[in-house]
Amino acid sequence: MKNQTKKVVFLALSILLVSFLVGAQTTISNLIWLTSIDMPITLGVFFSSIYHDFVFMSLTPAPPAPFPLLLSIITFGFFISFGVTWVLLEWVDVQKKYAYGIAGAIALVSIVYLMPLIFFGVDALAGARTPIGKVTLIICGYLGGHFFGSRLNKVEI
Amino acid sequence: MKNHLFKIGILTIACFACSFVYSDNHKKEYKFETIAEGLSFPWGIAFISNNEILVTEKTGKLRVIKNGNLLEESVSGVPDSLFRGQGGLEGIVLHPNFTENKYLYLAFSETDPLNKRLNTLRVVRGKLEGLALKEVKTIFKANPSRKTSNHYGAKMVFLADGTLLITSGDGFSYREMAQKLDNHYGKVIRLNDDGSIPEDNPFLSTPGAKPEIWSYGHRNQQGLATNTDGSIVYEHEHGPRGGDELNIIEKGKNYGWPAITYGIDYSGALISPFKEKAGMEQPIHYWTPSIAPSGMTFYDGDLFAKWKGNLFISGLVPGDVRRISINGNKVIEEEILFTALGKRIRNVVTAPDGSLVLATDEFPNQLNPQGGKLIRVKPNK
Repeated sequence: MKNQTKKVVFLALSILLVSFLVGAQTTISNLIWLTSIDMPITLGVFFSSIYHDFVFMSLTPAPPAPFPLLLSIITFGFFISFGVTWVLLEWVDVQKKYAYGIAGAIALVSIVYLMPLIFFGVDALAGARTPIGKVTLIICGYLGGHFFGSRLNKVEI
Repeated sequence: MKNHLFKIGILTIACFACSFVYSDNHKKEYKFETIAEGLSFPWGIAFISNNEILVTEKTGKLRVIKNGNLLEESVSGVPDSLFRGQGGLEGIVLHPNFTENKYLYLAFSETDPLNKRLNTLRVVRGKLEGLALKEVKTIFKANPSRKTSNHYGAKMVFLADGTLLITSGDGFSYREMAQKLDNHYGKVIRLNDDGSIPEDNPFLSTPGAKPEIWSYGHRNQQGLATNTDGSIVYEHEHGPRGGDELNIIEKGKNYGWPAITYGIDYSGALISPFKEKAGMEQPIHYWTPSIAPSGMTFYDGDLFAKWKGNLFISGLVPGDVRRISINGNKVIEEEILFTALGKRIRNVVTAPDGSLVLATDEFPNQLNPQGGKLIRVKPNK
């Protein structure tokens, strides 16, 4: 029972971690462009923007949705990809940190590539509009999954 | 104590009575008359006369309302448009000398013929002969084409000098392009009535700049109107989450999007932490939260004498019209009107007789694709 609780906590932490990383990627890509047109980006502006985006993308409802949109999408994606991974690991012998890492990356691939199909070609995540942005977001998904898998290993040892 | 409660009670009743009398009187100032119903996403409206109205349907037809009847037959010869997302057959404006030359202008989204995965904003001029559009000529095509089906702008207005202004939106995913002059994203375009480029456009001598550009740094401009003598151009544009703007458009100016904005992204992210910067224009008014401004008219009619010189802006989200009273470049009053309709209001225009005409649609549109109406607002005399 204690292990189950720990797993849920680690899952929640991995979702929060990815949500934070995706938010930070969005912030940084925006700030890089603003710098390129000579907008005055100071350290204060940088950190306040990172904080703002984490709070408003991951913790605050995004009207008309009554829930935090990014956190919900990542949670949904992770539930599916981690669920499939959990089943596959019954037959496939791979270290959990890598298996869940790949699952996290696949969740982000789905989010990044499926959302424009739903929203008439629009990338709802501004940071996903460029190829390098897409790759960065997929790496964020991998890191979240890797974190979850490596914690699982420790719980089960 | 009892005495105090009694006084508070009387005061409360008096307040309720006053607000009731006020709202009741206000309601009686005007009445609604349905001009036409069964329209499929009505978007643009143009008056040939008070009894002959042209309406674009976003689904692709140009409809005619004659003497209060919506004609079954639509205007033939209208180019195919791409009805997807926020795109379709949208803006319409008549040439200032329409009675003589019969020219009208249509703005719409269309698939890029060279790459079917892309689309763009196109503006054509055609001659209306009966129920047929003839001599159709492309006068503007936004360049480059886009993958998205959002943010076309597609509003038009003629200036006093006979040139045509066209709004070209930022395509949603291409917002940064609004700050560059080598493309048509997020721009106001100015052309002669035949599509040629006026000799006094501001960026003709700027290397790499598109010569059609009149102003830049815009998002999705769905309202464009001039005052009576054409000396002031008003424009409104959708903000993202918050930050809808009302601007006065001037030659060669930068309106800041997305470097400065009062809104944030739909995801909750900051688009920019900045709200102002030297060299970038401020709106004369903005709305946070958004009202989704969808159309605008400068009222110079006589039916509502006390509203003369005001702007009327329709809002999709609250389903109302904002009456904006202006003194010079300052907004001095905003009044919310026509909420009783309980509809999304897609456009508001002034009819030749001085009445206001509203286009309404349903949301989500797909549930009632023929739910669009044209409604006339007249004084309740």
